[in-house]
Parts: sequence; structure tokens; C-alpha cells
Amino acid sequence: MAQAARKAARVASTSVLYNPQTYTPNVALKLGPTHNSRLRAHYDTTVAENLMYMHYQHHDASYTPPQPHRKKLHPGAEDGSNPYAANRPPPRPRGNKVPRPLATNVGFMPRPHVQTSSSVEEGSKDTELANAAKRLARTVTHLKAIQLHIMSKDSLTNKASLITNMFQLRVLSGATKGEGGHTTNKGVELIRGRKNLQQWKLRRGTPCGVKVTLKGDKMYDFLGTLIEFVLPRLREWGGVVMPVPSANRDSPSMTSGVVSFGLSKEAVELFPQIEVNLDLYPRVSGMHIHFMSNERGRGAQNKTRALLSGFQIPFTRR
Amino acid sequence: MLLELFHLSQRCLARPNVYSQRTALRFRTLATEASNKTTRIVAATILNRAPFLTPTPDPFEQAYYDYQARLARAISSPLPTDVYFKPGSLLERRFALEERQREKAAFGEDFTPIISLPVDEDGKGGGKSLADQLAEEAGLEEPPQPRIHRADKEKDVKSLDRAGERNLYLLVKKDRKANSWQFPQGGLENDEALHKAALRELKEECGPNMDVWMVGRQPIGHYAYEYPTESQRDGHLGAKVYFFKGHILAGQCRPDGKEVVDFAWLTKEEVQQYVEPHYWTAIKDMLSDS
Repeated sequence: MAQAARKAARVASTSVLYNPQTYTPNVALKLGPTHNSRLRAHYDTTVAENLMYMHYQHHDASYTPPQPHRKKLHPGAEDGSNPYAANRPPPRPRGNKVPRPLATNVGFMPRPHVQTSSSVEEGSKDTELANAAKRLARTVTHLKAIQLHIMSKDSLTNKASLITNMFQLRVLSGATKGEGGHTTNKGVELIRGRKNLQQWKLRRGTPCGVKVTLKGDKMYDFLGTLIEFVLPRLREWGGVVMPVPSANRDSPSMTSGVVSFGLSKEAVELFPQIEVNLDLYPRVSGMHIHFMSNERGRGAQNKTRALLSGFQIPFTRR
Repeated sequence: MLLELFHLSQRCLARPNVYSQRTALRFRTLATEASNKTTRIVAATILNRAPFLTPTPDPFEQAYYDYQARLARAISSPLPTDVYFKPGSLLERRFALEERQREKAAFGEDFTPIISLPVDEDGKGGGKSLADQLAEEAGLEEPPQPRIHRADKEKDVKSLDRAGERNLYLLVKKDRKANSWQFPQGGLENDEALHKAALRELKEECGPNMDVWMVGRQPIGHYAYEYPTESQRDGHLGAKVYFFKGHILAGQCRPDGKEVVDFAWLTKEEVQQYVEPHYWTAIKDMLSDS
């Protein structure tokens, strides 16, 4: 009873007291873009066209594209003659190789069948072309998200140390949870251990890091800061090191369209958001940056590298 | 736009009669190598200067951005200045003043911010006020370059600084009556690969003073035509021109004045005014509208 009363009092006090520092108007708005993103414009006018030409693979009329992997069902599962298959998941694929995703392929996009005869309405032709243009824009390599990620060893013994890491990511990304009325904006997220790993003193469920996923204009703004303020000022850094040519082309990292590299503590301090007020950040830590593209399958990582080179991120051989 | 370029490139590579039966054809990774007795094979470079300015938003677009920015400002919670700035520090006061100016710019003169922060606008201490200091500093800052360059006003088509929002393409003028303005181009030598021939011809016609990056090794479009009967030479009945895309990264075109007498960096619409109508029909879809 006393607890309920306390709760009621707390609710009443929060609704009456007005704190401008924490007040957020309760409005159902979804904010749109506030500016024309510079790097997005660069991608649209220059990079997209070049990537289309570079990644185009020509196929003649007899070409049949590889079909996506289909799960093999239990015998008799389709017509329901096998009672064993009822409500059962399909069997696991045999063999020890996990099926890899098919490569995205700019060359294989069937030309829309546009009839020139007057019987076809002008409108449907336009829609068909517009759909084809959208399909092509989806196929050409583009950046989907940038993820910043900090794994902190200190947090295994001292959970509170993650607060500084969260603060760092918050400052670098400017992302907050539910920002601009978009529920997909998750802000800075806490990462918990997934496995018990004795050698790293990691236990399942223990907070061990933080991450933030940037999309849209925020992503391009971050990329702009990175390539203009940070990378050119790094000392003795030749570029992101690529895997050796003999590396397995079908490994998950090579086929998932993600390019990652790490920035040291010294590099993170070069971000203007931190540099302008360095005293405030006594414990800046290094972080990983993951660039995620739409590419999948064999060659996906190389295509993503080509995309990032278009944004002036240098790559070197070992 | 991207789609049109794609279809063109697809058509160029898909044409079954591009390589005839007698054509000796070898594939090296991506490069094609061709020689033909009856048709002259020509490689051309569409050299592009990419836009370096963002496109100017049209008035409606700009109004939308402004509205969204005001909305974002109105519903955002204020910065917790005590976290980010030492209380009473110069940084804090500067931020407060700038923030007030931003609020005024967004919501008008009458708007008074809810939070009052320590802003020393009057300069009570006898020294200069922060507002004066900021005004002085603003004077010292280098003003941004105008979006319209001198080359735009002087209509200097040879300058690479002109039309910063647009894609520019290099056209060269040859010393002849008809078809004088074209992309840099030339015939293949011996068993040369197409993309190498395109680059070689570019260097020959425009000089070595250019840093050029070629986009891939595949042609982005092609143009096949027959020579008029009186001007057939070396037994060639016609020509097939393969266009390759390149970007200029540094330098400038410096023709030697013998083969090429003039050059120009032009937008798509301007290219149409320079070239012959039949050439324009062949190349117009390879050029970017933006």
C-alpha cells in the first residue's frame, strides 16, 4: 500500500515539475532530413554510376541465374502424407559446409519489356521503368549502415566503466534512442556476452561492450567526419590492410559485404567532437568501425571496398 | 538516369554482331581485343570531371529542410551544458550565445529561450563583451568560396572550376570541317586491347599532363556507323567506336595543337551544341543529366 502511494506521489511529482533539461514534448512526429547530405549527393552523382560499370557482369541470353538455396523438406511433407513431417522443421542440410548467400549481380537484371505500341498506356510504361530503376538502385553496391563498436575488458570487472564508452559513442554518433520519432533508431546499445568463455573471463549475460548503428544522413555525416578530419591526420598509417590474396573467398567475412577496421585511442581523439573538449574525456578508448553494404555472396567484401574507395578510404596490401 | 546508362551499357555488350565471325577475339580477364578488316575499331574516352558541389536545393526542397530543422530544434531536449562545459567557462558562454543566435534564426527575434544561461553580453568587467569577441573572430574567419566561380561568369569552357554542381565532359576539336568536335578517340594499333587504346589515344591527344582514372575496362557504350562511299579509306567500310569512362583527378588537357586544336569542358546540354546531330544521338545516353 505504501509502495503504491509512493509510486503515485512520484508520478504526480514528475507530471507537475517541469525540468527543461529532461523535458521532451510528447508529440507523434517523424522527422525528415534537415539537409542535403554531401556524401550522399557524391554517391548519387558519381560513385553509383562508376560502381555499376565496375561490377557489371555480362551474361548472354542463355544465362540462367543460380537459384537461391531452398530448404530440403522431409519426404511427403508437401502433400501431408507423412505424419512425421507434420509441424516439424525441415531437416538440417547434410555436409559440413554452410550454404553461402548468392552473389548480388548487377549484370543480371532482366530488361523491362517496354512495348512501344500505342495500345499500352503511357502510365504503365513509366511505372515499369520506375520499378526497374528502383531495382537497379537496390542492386548497385551501396552503404546500408555504419556500426561503431567498443569491446571493453575493464567492464568485466567494473561495469560502470562502460558509461564512458557509451558517452564516447553518443558524442561521436549523435544518436539517441527513438530519435526524431523513429522507433528504429536504437541509440547506443549495450552488448552482453553470448557465451561463457573461461579464457576471457566472460560469462553469458555480462555487459562487455557498447555499439551504435548509424543509418541514413547520420551515417554519411559520420563518414564525412572520418575521412576529412581523422584519417588524413593519422600518423604512419598507410590504409586499411586487406586480407591476403590466398584468403578463403567463401568465408563468412568475405561473403557478408562488411568491411571493418579498428581505430586506436589516438585516432579517436582526432574526431572534432572529442578534440574540441579533450579534457572532458579522460578515458577515450579505441573502437571498431563496421561498414555494411547491400552486397552478399562471393566477392561481396571486395565490392564494398570499391564502394569505400569511392569515399576516399585508403586500402593497402599487407 | 542510372537505369538508362545501365541499359545502354548492356546493349553495347550484348550486341551479337559486335564481334563478327572473322574477328580474332581473345578475352583477358575483362579486356577485349579485337581486329577487323572491314570495320575500323575505334576507342574513345569520355573523360568526366565529377561535381564537387552539392546540388542547390530548389525553393520547395529548401523550405522543407528548413521546416524539418525547426521541428527538430523545437522537440529536441536542450544540451546538458553542465555535463559538456565547465560552469562559467568561455566555451560555455560562447555556446550559450551561439545557441541564442541559432534560436533567433530559427524562430524569430521575439523568441526568448526557456533556459537562461550565463551570457555576458554587456561586457560588465570592463573588457570586451563576448558578443564583440565573437563578432571580431567572425571577421577573421575566411569566408566560404562562392558557389559560382569566376570561370562561370567569364564563360571559360576550358576551366575545370566551372559548373561545380554538374558533371563536365571533355570534348576536343580536330582540325577539319565536319565532325570536328568529338571525344578524344583513335583507332587500335595491332593487337591492342580496347581499354588500353582508349587511354593511349587520350594521352596522345590531350598530353601527359593529366591524372586520369579509368572506370573499369569495359566500354560503357558504342556507336557503329558506315563511312560515306567517297571517304572510305584503307578498305574500311565503316567504324565502330567504343566509349570508355574516365575521371580526371588532377592536371589539365594540353593539346599539342597539331592533331587537336582546341578543347572544352562541357555539361550535357552544352555538348549537344558542339557535336553533330548523329554523334549526339549516339552519345547522349552515356552522359549524366546531373
